[in-house]
Amino acid sequence: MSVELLQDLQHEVRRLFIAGSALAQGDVRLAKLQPQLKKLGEAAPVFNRIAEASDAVLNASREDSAVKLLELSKLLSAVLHTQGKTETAGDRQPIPSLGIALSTDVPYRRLKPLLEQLTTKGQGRLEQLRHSILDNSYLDLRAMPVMCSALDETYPEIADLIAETIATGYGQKAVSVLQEQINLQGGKGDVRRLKLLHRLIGDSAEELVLDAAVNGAVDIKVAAIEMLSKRPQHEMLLLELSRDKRKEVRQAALDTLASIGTKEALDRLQEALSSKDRELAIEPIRRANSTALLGRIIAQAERSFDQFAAAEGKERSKLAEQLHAELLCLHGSGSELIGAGPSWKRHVTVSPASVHIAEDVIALLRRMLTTPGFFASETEVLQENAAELLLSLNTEEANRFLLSLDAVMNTCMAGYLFRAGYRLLTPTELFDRFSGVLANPSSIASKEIIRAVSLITQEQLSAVEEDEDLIVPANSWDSRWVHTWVQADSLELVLLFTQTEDAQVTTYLTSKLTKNARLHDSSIQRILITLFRIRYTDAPQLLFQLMEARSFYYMDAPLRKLIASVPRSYIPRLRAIAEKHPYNANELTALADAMEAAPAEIIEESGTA
Amino acid sequence: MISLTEAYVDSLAPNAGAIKNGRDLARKGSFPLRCVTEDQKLLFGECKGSGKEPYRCSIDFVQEGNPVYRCTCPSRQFPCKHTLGLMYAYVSSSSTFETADIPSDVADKRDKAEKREEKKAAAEKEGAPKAPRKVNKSALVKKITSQLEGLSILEKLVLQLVHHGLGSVDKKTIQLIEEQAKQLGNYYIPGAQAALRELLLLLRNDDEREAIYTSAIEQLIYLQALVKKSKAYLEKRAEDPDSPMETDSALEELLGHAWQLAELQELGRTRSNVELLQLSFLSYADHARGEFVDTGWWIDLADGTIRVTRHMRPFRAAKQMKEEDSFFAVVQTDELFVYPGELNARVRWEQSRFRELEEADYRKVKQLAAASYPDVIKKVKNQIKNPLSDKMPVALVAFQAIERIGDTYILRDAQNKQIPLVTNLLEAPHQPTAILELLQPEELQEQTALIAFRHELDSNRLVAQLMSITTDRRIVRLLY
Repeated sequence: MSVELLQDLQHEVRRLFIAGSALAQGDVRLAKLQPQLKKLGEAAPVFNRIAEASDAVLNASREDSAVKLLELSKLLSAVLHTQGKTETAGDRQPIPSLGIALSTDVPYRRLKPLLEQLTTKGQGRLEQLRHSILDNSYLDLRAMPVMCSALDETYPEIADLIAETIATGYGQKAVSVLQEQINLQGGKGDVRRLKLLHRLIGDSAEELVLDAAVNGAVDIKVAAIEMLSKRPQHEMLLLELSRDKRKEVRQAALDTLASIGTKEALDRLQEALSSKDRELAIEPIRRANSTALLGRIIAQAERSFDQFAAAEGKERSKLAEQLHAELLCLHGSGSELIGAGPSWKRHVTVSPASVHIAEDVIALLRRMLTTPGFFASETEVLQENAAELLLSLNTEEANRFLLSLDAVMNTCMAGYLFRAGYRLLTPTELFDRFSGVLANPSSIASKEIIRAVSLITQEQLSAVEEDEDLIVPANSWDSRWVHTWVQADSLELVLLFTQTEDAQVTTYLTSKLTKNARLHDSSIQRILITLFRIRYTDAPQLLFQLMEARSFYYMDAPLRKLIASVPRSYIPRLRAIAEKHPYNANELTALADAMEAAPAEIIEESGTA
Repeated sequence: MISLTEAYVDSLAPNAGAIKNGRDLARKGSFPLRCVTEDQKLLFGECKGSGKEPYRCSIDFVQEGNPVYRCTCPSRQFPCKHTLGLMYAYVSSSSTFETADIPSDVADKRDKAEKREEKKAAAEKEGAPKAPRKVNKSALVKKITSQLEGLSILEKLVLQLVHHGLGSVDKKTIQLIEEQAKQLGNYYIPGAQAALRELLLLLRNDDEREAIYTSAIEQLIYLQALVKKSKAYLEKRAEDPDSPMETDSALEELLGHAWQLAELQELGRTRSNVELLQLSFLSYADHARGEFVDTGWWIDLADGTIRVTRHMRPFRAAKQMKEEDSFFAVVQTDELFVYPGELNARVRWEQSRFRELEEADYRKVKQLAAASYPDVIKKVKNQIKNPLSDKMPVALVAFQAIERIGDTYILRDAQNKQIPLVTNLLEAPHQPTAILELLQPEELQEQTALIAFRHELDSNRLVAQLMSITTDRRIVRLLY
């Protein structure tokens, strides 16, 4: 074939271009082609010209060689450009067409930036992308495959935005592209694709979801398993998956089994609770919320406890762990507000599991906690678990039982007893019952009680607005507590419990305002605020001493409020400080001006000058 | 009477950022004052800016297709985001415009402009016909001498490269070429200089030496041909400065001449009353020339010729220049300037109007497409065999079907002749073949395609890339 010959020639020419035309003179491989070229030249004159040009290269001097080689290659290139083939051998096949109804009418200046954001990395893309989505630049056939590919984006906010846009903007139109792109062995992007498909086509995606649950990579498996929730028909598969090699997969399978709640599913959860997957099973069991299952777990816990009581050494601690897990399953079960009194501040969500579950749980815990020798340091975790469980049941019986455990008042259980007491007793009774324990502030029990009080006050104060005083409701607590906290040196509680001026309290608080106290320390500020609140006479003086003693560089809201509440007589001192503090001079002067301008009675009201 | 559409306002904006900013202003309701005159030929309003005084902006449509933007803001972008925003506000249904009288300052400016026009018309009448532009012959000869000198330098460099071989090109050689390329800047042949830079860009690519040899050789052939052809042409012109500029080929432009519209007019390279429809658009960075090139491919609706518009934006000035865009309406112009060229000559126009695309236009495009591939291929080959020609001619062809043979996509005509399709000639926004599968089945049968050809030296095939498909109802744009 003549074209082949030309290509051979082209090959040699290319070689000479790389090696340098200086080496072309008499080139053997080029010369070898000469006879064939000449022969073809007899039929077609163009080959003659090529043969001549080729000859010229072979015979050119070193100086001329470059020109000759260029001439030959130019001629050759021109001829080759006319020889390009356009036919492709083989069977023609139609192209499958999905017929997606999207136009290609988004102009370059809007489409290009969108595609760039989708295919590059860098800062600021989220904002631009939001903009592109807002002006519908993504509603273009050319953008859709790129949008779907961009689900692999590593920046989750962008990926989520894209996923949401695909679901709401393209909807069904994106299905085929997603189906084509999805790779069950892929990563997070494919998880998003699977979720999108599930969302867009629902049950039609079931086959894919099942495939993903069985054959997918871990992340994809987990996502697929979650999609099988409330589908009892896939029980067998889920049971199998709950024994998968990967922990994440087992966890997902157990979670999903909890949602279908069939007998086999519940059996499997109970089984898992007694296996190495103990930790994984707790949450699903709680969520399954099945009275029958919980009944069985209580029975199982009874047995575990019996074995535990009889066992020794390593076996004993192993059983303690098992029992611990079983008790954890019961948390939140059977909680019901029974005989809720006015002092029961705890809010409990009512669970459908019945009252008798609660009774069974109490019976179990009663047996545990009253077994002689149960209270030992090795069972501390179990003790606390049991106490927390009793508190979470929040029935009168549970609380009363907990409060009755006087024998362990001086151990780590004190805090739990206190919390039960807070629910059952009047403020005075509570104080009388527990203040004695706090006589030794460094004991474990008093620390536990202080922690319990902090916990309760936190709940009480969680609703307090930012500009209100942080102080516990006077009617919930005995007024003597504040002295207890002074003795225990619990500044936080003293501040919360100080209702009125009291010599012991003010002495304690002022002792904290040493020379080293910093104005911007929040506890120092709170001490000052408390002193102002109870109208302690020397409060303004203390504030100014601190202000004068150390320089401070900025003003914050509490400090501003404190300064604004001193009596008028301090205005000159304030101005003096302003002169010494260049950073805050303007603001301090402004404050002084404002105080001077304010009507006298307002100042008088807040101070005692 | 103004019939504004959002897409039209988009097309007036200098760049994507201005579109965004203008739309944001409209969306945020930054125009407390929005007015339109009774004849609907002037929009004006006030826009809140960063300054104390609001900016007063207006858009005057007194000359159809050539709106005049005025704004008191200091922005150098033109039209500024305030005038664009006012137009977006006018287009959107959510904001209302009060009918008001034309403000006096705009009226004054209109008067002045009118007077200017009158004066110009009067001057044209008096002095008509316009005197032909005078050419300073001695300066021309001087310039040509300099150009020839530059070409000699280039030739020497090319021959030297071929002599020593591409295999011996090292950092030092590249540095030498770089210096020479810089030096060529003094010889009025920027086109040749850019062609050398293209070679330089190829040679700098260290990773794929073997792969770039073929292109490098082609570029060397091109350079040598350019030197030879232009030398002959310039020598002739130096002898006879009165001889006309070359217009049969694009040689002048290849050397770097920037045709002025007046020159084209003098040479009679204009067409009157032309309707053009854009079939494809692409903007790319030409690193050898250091500029962005906004390229539009248009069909002349009268005879089916494929025309090209090219707007160059040097990297340095890119921000200040208008970024061209895909265009969706039919452009009507009284005077179309055609550059010297081959199958796809470059064109420009100064004044134009637009009309919306109709179904008849799609039918027209389909009628104008070449039906037989051998004819098209013959024309294409005839062009690309010339080393100085555009190696990627674009043509409009009818197809019976787009199909697949193995991994190769092909176009097939009624006589079962094929054209193989590739995707690496022009930078598409995606894998173009992937988009084919998303189209309606009937859009792959008996439609019309705009394709760019290229000869693949290594496989000895003539291949093409799909740029757009025109059906009876729409244009599917595979580029932009």
